[in-house]
Amino acid sequence: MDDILTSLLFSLGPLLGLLLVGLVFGTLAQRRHFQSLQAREAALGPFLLTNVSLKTSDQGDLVTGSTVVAYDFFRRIAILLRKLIGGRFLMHEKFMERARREAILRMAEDAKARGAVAVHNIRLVSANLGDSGSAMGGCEVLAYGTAIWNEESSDG
Amino acid sequence: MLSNMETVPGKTIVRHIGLAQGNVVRAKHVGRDIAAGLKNIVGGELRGYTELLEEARRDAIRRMIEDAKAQGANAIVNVRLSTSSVTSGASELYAYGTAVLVE
Repeated sequence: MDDILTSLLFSLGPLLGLLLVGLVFGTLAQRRHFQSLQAREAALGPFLLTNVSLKTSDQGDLVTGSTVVAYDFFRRIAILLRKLIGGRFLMHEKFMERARREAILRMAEDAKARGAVAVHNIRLVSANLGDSGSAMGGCEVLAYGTAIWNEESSDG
Repeated sequence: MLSNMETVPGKTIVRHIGLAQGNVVRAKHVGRDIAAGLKNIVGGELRGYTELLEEARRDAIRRMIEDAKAQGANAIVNVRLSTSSVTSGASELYAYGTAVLVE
């Protein structure tokens, strides 16, 4: 009986360990990331971001912001299980929200650092890296748009 | 001059020249792959890959600009960027737009 228990522990131990590590660190990282996003978005202040092309400036240039994110081990397994019953993937939504906000924020911060006042015509794209569904790789989210320097009027 | 709108803010397009494009296929080196594999346990941002793709994207944009310059343009409008994974471990970054001549 003891033998079976030990062998079971040996074979399942690493998996459970990874799940636990993933759950703890993943959750901590997510909380930290949301806090940092909120702080940086507040620090950015009022900065106009639109996805329409306004022609109200005499100077413009392309700006980009991107991030590559990966799931932690726990969430990857949880999502595999969730697929069996279907429905909303709340975890995945939060994950993509984090990535997208990060990419937009990086783009906006870059534009602001270069002295721009707004970014127009923003496009968002995402791509899976590596084999889809495999343990490796991650998801890339890219935001890009045209930064403008001196807005003459907001209704163009 | 780059813009992802149909015009360049504040400039008038004199002539549309044609499509300008640039692409780069890059792989991550093994060290980065291993680091990313470890990062996959705890999740979060894969900083090595972010940097790699930023560099590759800059290359793709630079090639697109060279292509446009070779065609006699001085600006590119309606720029679009896309990423695709070619095989596992390698990604293609693609930038394309319309080369134009502005005043």
